[in-house]
Amino acid sequence: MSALLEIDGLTVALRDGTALVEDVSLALAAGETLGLVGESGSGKSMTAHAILGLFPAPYIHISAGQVRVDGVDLATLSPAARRAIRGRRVGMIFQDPSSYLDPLLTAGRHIAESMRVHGVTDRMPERVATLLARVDLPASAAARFPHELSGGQRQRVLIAAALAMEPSVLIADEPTTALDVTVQAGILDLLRRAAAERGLGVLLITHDLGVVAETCDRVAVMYAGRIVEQSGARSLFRAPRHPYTQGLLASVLDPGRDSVPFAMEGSVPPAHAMPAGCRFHPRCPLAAGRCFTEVPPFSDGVACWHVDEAASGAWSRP
Amino acid sequence: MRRAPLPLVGVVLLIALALGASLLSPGDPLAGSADALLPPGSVGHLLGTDDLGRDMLAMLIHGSRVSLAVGLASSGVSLLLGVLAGATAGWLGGWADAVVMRISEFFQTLPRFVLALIVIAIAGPGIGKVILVIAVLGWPQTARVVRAEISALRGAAFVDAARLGGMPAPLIVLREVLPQIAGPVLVLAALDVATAILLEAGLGFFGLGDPNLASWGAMLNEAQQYLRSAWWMSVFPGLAIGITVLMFNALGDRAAAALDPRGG
Amino acid sequence: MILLEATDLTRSFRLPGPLFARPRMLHAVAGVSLSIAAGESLGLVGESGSGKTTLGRLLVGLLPASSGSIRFNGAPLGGPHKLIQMVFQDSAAALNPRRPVGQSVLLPLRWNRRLSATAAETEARALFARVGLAPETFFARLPNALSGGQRQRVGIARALASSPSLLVADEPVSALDVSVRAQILRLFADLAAEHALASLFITHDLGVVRAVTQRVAVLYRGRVVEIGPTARVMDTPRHPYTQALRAATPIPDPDRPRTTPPRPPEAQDQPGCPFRARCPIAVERCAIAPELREIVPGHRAACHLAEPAPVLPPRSLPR
Repeated sequence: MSALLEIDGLTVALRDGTALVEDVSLALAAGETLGLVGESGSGKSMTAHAILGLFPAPYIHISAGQVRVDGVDLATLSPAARRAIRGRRVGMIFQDPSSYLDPLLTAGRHIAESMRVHGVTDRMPERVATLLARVDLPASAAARFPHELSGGQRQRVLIAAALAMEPSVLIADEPTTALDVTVQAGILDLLRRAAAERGLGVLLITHDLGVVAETCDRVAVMYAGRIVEQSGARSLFRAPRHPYTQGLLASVLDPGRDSVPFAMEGSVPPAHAMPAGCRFHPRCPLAAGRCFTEVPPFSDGVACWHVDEAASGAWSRP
Repeated sequence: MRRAPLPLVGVVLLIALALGASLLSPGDPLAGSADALLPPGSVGHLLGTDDLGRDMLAMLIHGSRVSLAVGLASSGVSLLLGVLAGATAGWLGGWADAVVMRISEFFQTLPRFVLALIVIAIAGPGIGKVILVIAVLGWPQTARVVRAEISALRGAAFVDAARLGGMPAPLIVLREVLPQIAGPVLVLAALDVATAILLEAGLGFFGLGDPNLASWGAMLNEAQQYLRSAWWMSVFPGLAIGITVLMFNALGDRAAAALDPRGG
Repeated sequence: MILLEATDLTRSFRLPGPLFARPRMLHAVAGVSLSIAAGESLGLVGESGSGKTTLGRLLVGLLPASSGSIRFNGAPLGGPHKLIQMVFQDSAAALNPRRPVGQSVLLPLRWNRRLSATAAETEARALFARVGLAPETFFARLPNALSGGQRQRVGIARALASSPSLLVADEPVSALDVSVRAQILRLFADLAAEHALASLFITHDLGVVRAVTQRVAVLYRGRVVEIGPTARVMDTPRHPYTQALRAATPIPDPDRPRTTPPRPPEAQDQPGCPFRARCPIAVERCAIAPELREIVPGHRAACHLAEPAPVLPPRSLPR
């Protein structure tokens, strides 16, 4: 199994050296959907932006590590070559489709534009119709403007545009967060199908564990800029090993069960005030000894000094 | 503010100059002498004298009083009128909004300078009248900005919260909403000062200023006949007007940047 | 004891359209009747466009109704009432960005409660402490110096400052992270119990509704389609829309995938049941709008096909 996308020891920092993402390593294989889960401030979106070299501000940069797409280290490429990789090899969709659609362009024009920038100009109407069909939109949607489409339809248009150049990797940053649950399912189904039928590697970034459980083969959990646990989806949900993952899963409210909301006290520390040692230690019920001073190494799928104790459940529930 | 902005320093200096005119001025600005049309650099007359032998520097320093008084007073009055009208229209909406906006549009279609000229020509010169005319012609712009900002903020959640907290509506507008728009309104006020100074100078230039006061506009009026022979008579008041107007404009911009909560 | 009762509440908005054309109306809330008992927590569930936020604003008196009536404590409600307070979804927008957050809590203490400056200050600091914010640290901070969870705590303190008997919370936790969400929900539950507060909890999240409410109303296109005890509505939903919502809610378990039927396009206003176009079991009868009717005691649904109520013995005619 060769990796389409490999991230190796990635560190993203501000100019003053404050790390937003630290030592993140991930690999994505063809046909695989990898979930990157975390709360706000976990660095999950920043990781995605780093893959494409798209940062929200000029003072954020990759200070260490490598991102390889199809075996090519992106840092060795010229800006033009990197731009060509965006869209051609790596597609991206976002949480809020409206802000990525030009209100003055029809859906068809938007999709066509995404091919034109990569030099494809022939048989345009045909190509657009095929892409629309792939995202389950009628061909008539090509003539619609963004305001004439629903939120779910807009996201489908963006997916069609992202898939237009047949990329091998799709990065989906909270693609269903702004959508109603009854619309979400259709979008996720689309992503699943693209992975299964075309061997697309999907990196799904989300805070929603339900979405991950439904869609992903493997899951990486991020906390405060680091990956704390990574494993197959089934084993992660069946037997989470890191206390944070356990707490996160316990926090999910199941409409089918009466329960008292479970709360991990405290909140994600800000990037400029990261605690020493394990970054989760101020909130962790098992924190002791080395947790306060030494960063636990990521080994065997988890970064915790007390994996064995955590195996029986870190949190005592009333 | 991290550093004292140049425009603010300039405006403060100008105000100090106007307040201390009698102390700082080298003499009586209206006292003529036999030394007419002395060029700048002459002994006792740093910036020269005009056709009646009056000291240019003394006239410029005293003239700042007229310009500032008219600029600040008329923009203050038009600010008050504009905020009142704009807040009423924006908060109440509906027919109140329609009425206020149609009136303001009517005022905006009037050519300001020509109208001011006519009114002063009929009513006779006088600094109080000048201030009033400029203010009455200047409020609609402020009113429109205030109205747009307030009708946008009217639905803000923190305004809803204040309503639920029992605060009376006029106080919500005054204490919760108006401070939010201080930025754009102050910018407009500063620009208004600049416009008013220009208008006043224009009136003075046409000989409609207050004859008992030395003003920059009146100086320009007299300089007309000496454009070729005594350049200093037109250049110095012109520069004074230009620099003052620029300073107030720049001050408005700086104020906008400093008051923007997102800028911090 | 009924605290608040809404009867046939309707709110319409005029849609922008061509000049001189007959204005098209959007019925955001269309004939809603519901009641909230003292101390009760009622959930209001719906997707975007269901009218749940509009209904919330009607019930706190921030928005006048187009028709219908609201009675609070037996008297007609004509506008904001100091005993009905609200917690907003966007905690940042709900706080004056230029005022220290302590001031926002002082406001209702000074106006609704008419406390003196010193008494209000003491009370506000006590409220900060109650919602888990150290007053000496947070009282003088501006909203943008607080995290989302902390701002929402301030919002709750402000709502409590008026000593309300009804709290309307509009998606108070949907902008918060999972781990912070639970903290806020627990705070809500504790405070409601402490102050015998009734609450209307507006949300799109069925899990949240199950955790904090006793009864729930499901809203679809401005109408209540199902209402009843929360556990019962979640476990045995009777309306096809509630069933669809329930099935579409993702659960973090790879072995329990959700079963969402593909969603057909939204239909324009048509007579009859508002859910007809999307309903998998719609029949001809659905062209006639169904009324909310009792399916089991306390559990009502607006669907012709919901399990019929026990057949009543024919009423005997007066002799």
